[in-house]
Amino acid sequence: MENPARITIVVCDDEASTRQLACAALAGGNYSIIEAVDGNEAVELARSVRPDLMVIDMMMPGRNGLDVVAELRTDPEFADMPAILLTAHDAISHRDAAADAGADRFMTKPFSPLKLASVVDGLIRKRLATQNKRLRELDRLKDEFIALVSHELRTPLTSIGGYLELILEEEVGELTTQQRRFIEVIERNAQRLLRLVGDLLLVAQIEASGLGLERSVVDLAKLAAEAVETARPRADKKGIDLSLVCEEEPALACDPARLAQALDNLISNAVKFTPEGGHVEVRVSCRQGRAAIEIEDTGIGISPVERDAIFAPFFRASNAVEREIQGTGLGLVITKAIVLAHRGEIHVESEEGIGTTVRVELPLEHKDGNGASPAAGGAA
Amino acid sequence: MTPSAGRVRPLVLVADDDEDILDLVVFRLEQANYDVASATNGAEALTLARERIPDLAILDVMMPKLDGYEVTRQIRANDETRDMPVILLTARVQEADVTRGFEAGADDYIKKPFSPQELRARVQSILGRR
Ligand SMILES: Nc1ncnc2c1ncn2[C@@H]1O[C@H](COP(=O)(O)OP(=O)(O)O)[C@@H](O)[C@H]1O
Ligand SMILES: [Mg+2]
Repeated sequence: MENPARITIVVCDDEASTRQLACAALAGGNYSIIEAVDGNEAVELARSVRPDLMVIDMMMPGRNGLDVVAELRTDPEFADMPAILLTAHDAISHRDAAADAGADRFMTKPFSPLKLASVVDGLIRKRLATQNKRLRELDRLKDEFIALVSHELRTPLTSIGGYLELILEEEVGELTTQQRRFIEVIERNAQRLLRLVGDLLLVAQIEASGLGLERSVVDLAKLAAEAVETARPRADKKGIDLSLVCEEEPALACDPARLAQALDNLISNAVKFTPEGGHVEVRVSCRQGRAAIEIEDTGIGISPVERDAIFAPFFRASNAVEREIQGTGLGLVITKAIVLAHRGEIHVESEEGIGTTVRVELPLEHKDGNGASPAAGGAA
Repeated sequence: MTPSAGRVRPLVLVADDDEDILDLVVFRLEQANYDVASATNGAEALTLARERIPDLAILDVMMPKLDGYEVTRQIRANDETRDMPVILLTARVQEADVTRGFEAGADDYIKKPFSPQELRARVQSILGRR
């Protein structure tokens, strides 16, 4: 996990000495503390910095502490921000007023610095726990939503694709050339939609629970050759010279379907982002117990500032968007997840306007004993 | 392949609540020369499985009320249908769904969308090994 943003606390009192005492009491907690000298400033500050907690003096000239808390509580943003009110008089009426205004705690001055620190720590801990729980819940809802939507999209697409295939097979009558051409357009677009749905579902799955692999041993060179042939029609159409160089034929324990998907993504990117008449070369090699696949293109490249962002979901570089090159920005997220699941690495070298080389390295040995095992779903 | 109970051709039971997909699978199986019994829900599928003892059942996972997992479990729980091969048909293909299918007692699964070749290959590999 990354470092969470620093916890911010606003301390408001018209007396400088009380503010100093409170700040000193909280100094050990690694909080970012902001001081306010009156009620108006406290409300303003709260609205702009959105603190995680406030310590407010009850008795101040002008807008007093009760007013501040009551005012903030009307805003849903502050509905559950902890507020501690300080007062010089420990009177029942003061306690009641503080509770009515919506304060979480009530402390009398002079307060013990240790006591203040422990109350603040406790309230902050509780707040973080609630926030975490809410985030996890949101995350779960998002994943569930995507899985459900993907299922609902996939079912009608199964029918669309299946019946189109029947028509194209001329099971139910001959097609004219034009009918065939039109139906092929529908089919191609149904396939595109299907790929998008598949990618979305996979990204959701990767984020929720990671990628499960079904390993078997395959020849990496053969896998690469198949991926190259998959991309060949599109390369031919753009007059791109697509070649494969295999120095070796490494036997690799991997999930062949997933790895093929990763290679398809990388090679199709290379073809897609290379202008007509360019070159794409795929190289397979092997060194020091690692297999390497390089995909080099003479395409539009990626600017240095965007280089690291291309692995983020839905990210597309500005030169790709400007040129209206189609895509969703999911391919590389999936590709990287697949490579990482195989304990591999992926690196990108690129120069704008010159070309891009993507290098994937995969360990040949699997020391986790999770080597060759037949695919779980095989009907052999 | 050897169809049971004096049949000339193997009988395949297909169940899916989406009738368009059901018709498609039925069409493809008939095209491949199988006899087909079809059901649009889990309860109907179970009744047909018990009455006609098909050589293979292809069941959609996501059916309302009695889903594919439950139908599989009940097929396994009944002496007369215990050994019937079951293929699950599913549009959700997460690891957990696959595991659940095998735990329920399914022999194989087919992902939606499927190609006619894939459907034929899966069916043949199960019926062929009996
Ligand atoms: N070979 C490449 N040459 C230039 N840019 C690339 C290449 N591969 C990826 N990119 C950039 O990275 C972005 C993300 O790639 P990807 O996740 O595959 O999404 P998509 O292909 O759907 O746009 C692309 O939109 C593009 O801007
Ligand atoms: Mg891509």
